[in-house]
Amino acid sequence: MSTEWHRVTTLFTAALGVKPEARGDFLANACDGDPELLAEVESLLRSHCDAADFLKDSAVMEVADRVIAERTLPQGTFLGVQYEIESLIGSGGMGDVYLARDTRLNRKVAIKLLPFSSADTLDRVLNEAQIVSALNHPNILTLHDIGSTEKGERFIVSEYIDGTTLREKIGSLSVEEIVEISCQVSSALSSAHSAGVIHRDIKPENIMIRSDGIVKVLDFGIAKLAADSQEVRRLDPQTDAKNNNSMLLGTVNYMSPEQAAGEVADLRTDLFSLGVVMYEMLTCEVPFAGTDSADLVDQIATKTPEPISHFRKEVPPALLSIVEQCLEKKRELRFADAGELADALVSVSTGDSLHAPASGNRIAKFLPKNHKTGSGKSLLGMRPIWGIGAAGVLVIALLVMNVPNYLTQPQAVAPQPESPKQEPPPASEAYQSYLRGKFLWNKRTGDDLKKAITEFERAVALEPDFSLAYVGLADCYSVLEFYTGTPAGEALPKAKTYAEKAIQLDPGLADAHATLGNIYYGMWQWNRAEQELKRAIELKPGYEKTYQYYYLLLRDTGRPNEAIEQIKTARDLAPVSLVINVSYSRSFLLINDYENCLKATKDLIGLYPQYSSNYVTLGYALLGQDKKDEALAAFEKAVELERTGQTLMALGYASAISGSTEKANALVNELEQRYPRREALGREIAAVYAGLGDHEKAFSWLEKDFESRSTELSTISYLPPFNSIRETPRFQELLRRMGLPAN
Amino acid sequence: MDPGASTQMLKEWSNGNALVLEELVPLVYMELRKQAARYMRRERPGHTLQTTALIHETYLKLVDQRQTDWKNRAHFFGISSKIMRRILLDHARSKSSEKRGGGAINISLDEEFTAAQDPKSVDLIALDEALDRLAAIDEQQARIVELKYFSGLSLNETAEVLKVSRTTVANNWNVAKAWLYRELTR
Repeated sequence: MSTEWHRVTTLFTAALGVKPEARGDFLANACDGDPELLAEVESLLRSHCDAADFLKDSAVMEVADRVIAERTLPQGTFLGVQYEIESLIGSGGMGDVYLARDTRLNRKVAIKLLPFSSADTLDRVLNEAQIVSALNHPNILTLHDIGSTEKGERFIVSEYIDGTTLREKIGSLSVEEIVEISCQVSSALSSAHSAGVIHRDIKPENIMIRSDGIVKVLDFGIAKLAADSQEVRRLDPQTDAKNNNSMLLGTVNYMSPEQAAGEVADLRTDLFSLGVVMYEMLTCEVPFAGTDSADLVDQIATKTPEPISHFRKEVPPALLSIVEQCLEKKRELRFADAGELADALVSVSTGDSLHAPASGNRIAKFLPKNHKTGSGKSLLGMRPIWGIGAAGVLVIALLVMNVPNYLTQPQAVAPQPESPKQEPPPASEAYQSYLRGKFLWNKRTGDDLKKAITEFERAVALEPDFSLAYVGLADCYSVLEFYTGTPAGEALPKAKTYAEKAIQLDPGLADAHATLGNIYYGMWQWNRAEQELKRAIELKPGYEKTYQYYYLLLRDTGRPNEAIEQIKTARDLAPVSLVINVSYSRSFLLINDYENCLKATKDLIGLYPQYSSNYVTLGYALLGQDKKDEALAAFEKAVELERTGQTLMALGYASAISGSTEKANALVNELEQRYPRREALGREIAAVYAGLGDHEKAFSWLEKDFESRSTELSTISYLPPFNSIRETPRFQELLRRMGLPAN
Repeated sequence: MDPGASTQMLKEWSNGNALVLEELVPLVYMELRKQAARYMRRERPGHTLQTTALIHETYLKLVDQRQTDWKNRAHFFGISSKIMRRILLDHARSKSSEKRGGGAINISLDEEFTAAQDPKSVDLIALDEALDRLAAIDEQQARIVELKYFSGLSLNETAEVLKVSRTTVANNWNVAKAWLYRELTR
């Protein structure tokens, strides 16, 4: 700095300390004989007065904006054809996470863009992610889809969790909450481990707490990607020898001794990391924090953590010893598996030490009263979600019902007693194929069903005794007519053979009996269907799918009151299931209770405003009340949302009976054109003709369905569009030929 | 991110290993981005971003607290201020080249008008050049501007980082601001 500038600065500062009116004199004095200096300081003082707001707010906010904007997908960008980016919600070593909208299903989703990796690694990782998601475990993030951008980047679409990460909760958790969170994480781990997937990167950032207290574990299988990520490698130039580079940066604090030593991780590795998380939840400190990575690795291998009681007094001794056991250096000394850890945690939570009255909003309310039996109900009306992992893998297949193209939705699932025979040794190749099959089956598209069949076939080829895989095959074939147009006459006998095979292998397998019951229903063998469904209920009373199937059977066979009972039971078991709720809302039509039908349907529309079937139900109820104009509006809305045989039939029929013959004719034409493409069913065409009064055509189309043994032709026994012809002798004869009760 | 590694890099950088800066910049940048994303998510309308928190948390994430001495901290803020300055400059340059190039057609009169009218809007390119000239006259004053404006540090924090008194920072900040303002309004 020049001495001149130094003088300027000093004088400027001094002048600012003088009252403005005295500055002139002060400066004239101070700059005596140096007009240049005087001019400079005066000029700067003038600038100073004008610059009150200049650089006042720091640029950090703008930098944050820029940093975010750069490399960030702008709002409105589409990934694939259906995902529209809304905003960036997270960023980490494993890529950026966006909130996006699935425009096809009109729901929020989270999208993670994965870092570039070799195709092999990606496939392996995504495979594991799919396997874990297929477990349908309530504490594991549900994966919806996997896609690639135009540039070839892969992305994972999953459910959007409205909540915060555990990281943000640390410091404000009660002991009860800590136990509850640990329980739910153990449950997720137990389930994933049984499918042969180790998380490898359990840390507070990978655990989310939903606003209703449900814990979700994220990123199963994905931790592996880190090892392959170029970016991570570049940023970790001095990976030390002990610390093999398969370890994620930033998570070293949660690493187990075996990972630190570069050994292969196993399921007990996750238990150690969970122990670190539990320790941190209790103390707000990580148990091992070295001065650098070498020191940290050393501590993990040798240091006994500072006792938790030094940080927090009120921790029950049982919980202290659980954390200690998780943090054992030798794997053999830890819990044998996550189920054992979960059991230990449950006994803490039900022990006296925690029996202090729980406040209403505590997440501890999700704790089961009766571990593994699932008999208690939580305040939210959901079944306790706990205990599933320990009980083994549950198969929660989505339900087959008479609504084509229905959505798959995450469901609340109830713990089920499982017979031990149902599972082959965990993590076998067959089992992994099976889980992939379940994942594909849940997606319910023609292509995915075919792929699912391949996976299930592979599973039974590897493990010929794998009864659940046969049920998977049976399920796939039983819905094939809907999704691929394969005639029911071809698909159902195959489905039946597979279901029977499963029962032969394991006569006590409720899933197999339920599926077989539903297949018999599709084959119009009503008595046999009922027999199987009753057997399934006997074997597994908490399995909502069976009640849903039973509802369909009773509905079509003219037993409305019993049908309603069944669907109510299904709904109690799975209160948030969309398919069950659609059936429930429709069940009121069976007893002409339009008031309740409207109420239930409107509630459902509030939850799923884009789901076309709900507007069809709404329209039928309004027709029942003779509100034709309103009914037409509802059907129009349904068609607008989704142009399917079902929606076109409803609108066509309603148009016909309201005198819009021209419109009805146009719609029936459209349906007839769809028929050869298998995009409409004979009965859907028949319904419009029935409305138009053309009984001849109506019956000839019904005959077509009859000849092809169309799976759910029996729905004509209750569907409102057939009301006008139902009492005719020809219709009654058709019912008789199907074995249905007739006059 | 392993704090040990970046602390080590900071040390090496301060010992004169300029190559390390190349490693450090993307690392700081990535962490900054991560923290910024967290803030964006947490921000709700009506709350203002606590600007210094952003840079502080980035610092906490990147630098191992156990081995922190003032030197490290000063280095870190020195680097992050430079990085932030660069981010803004790059953005301003790309925007201005858009305006001069074909992109000009797309910019509505309204936009140009509001930009010119906003008293807080600063011509970042001119500011950058002026800051370089200031550094030639008085390096410390230029650093004060960097720390306060680009990293959002308070007077006290800036004083801590530069190991001078708060008064010194305040006095130099005032004169530097006045000087820069005059440069930009000539």
